[in-house]
Amino acid sequence: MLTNEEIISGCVKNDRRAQKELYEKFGAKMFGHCLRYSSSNADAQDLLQEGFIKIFDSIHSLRDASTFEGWMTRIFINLALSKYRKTKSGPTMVDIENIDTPDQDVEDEGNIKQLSADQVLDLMKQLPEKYALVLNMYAIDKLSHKEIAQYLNTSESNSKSMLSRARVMLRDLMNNKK
Amino acid sequence: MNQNNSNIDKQLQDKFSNFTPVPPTFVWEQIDSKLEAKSKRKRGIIVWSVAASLTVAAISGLMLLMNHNSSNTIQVPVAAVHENASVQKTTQPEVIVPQEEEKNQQRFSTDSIWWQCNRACEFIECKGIEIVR
Repeated sequence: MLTNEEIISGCVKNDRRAQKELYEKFGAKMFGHCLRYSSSNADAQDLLQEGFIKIFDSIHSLRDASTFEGWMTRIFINLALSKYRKTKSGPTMVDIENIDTPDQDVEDEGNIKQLSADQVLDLMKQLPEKYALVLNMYAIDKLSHKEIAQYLNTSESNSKSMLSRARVMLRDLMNNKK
Repeated sequence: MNQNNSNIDKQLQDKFSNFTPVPPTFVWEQIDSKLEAKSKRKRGIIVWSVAASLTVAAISGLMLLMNHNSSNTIQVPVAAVHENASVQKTTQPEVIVPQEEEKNQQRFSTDSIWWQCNRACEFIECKGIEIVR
């Protein structure tokens, strides 16, 4: 079992054994990111393939091995978002007036805990694509609204609106599932 | 409300922190074949650039050699030869003994340069590059 540093230096030298080791070590985790950011399983597989090719191509530019996993995750997010931007042209706009700001006391907090990751993922796939993207980026990958706005070519307030909408819709979906 | 939102965010984060679905095996096979194709292409580019550099170096070397030899050739004006020929009948021609170095340089006659050029062309043609003569 090679360490991350050994894997990285092997990959820089195009050593196929190190490349395979990297894939075996992080492939499943990265596939999880791909599934969250893709609309279908096939798209996620394509994204995984493209992402690893890009990683092997640009691994020589990685300076700090301690940020390796975060660096790879960013590559997958960037790829997923550039694919999204290619298919959807124009800025993403949400009418703020139409945003629900529910005062409902959300007692279904425990629902997420009861569901498996696959089930939550299925629910998230039912959200409009841009809402799911914002929820993924903000809630799970901890990106700021400023970054999300840049990625999606929209304003920070729109990003906040979409996030709010996404949470409400996800709660509704979970309640319906219950 | 904000507390609820951050709770949902936290729960989502926890839910997916250990989400590691195993990708199908064919994904690595496709990555592997793409990497192989890329490295083959890279090797091809290296071989071609080395071959091209060698060819350029050989041609430049030959051209330099030809220039060098032509500048060392003793050029005798034709008129001077005729004059000498007429004088030859009456007077003894001055015998010019070339220096040892000049003798060596004269060995590269025009014929030998052409022979070398032909050899170079044959070598290049062996490598599959067509030369219009």
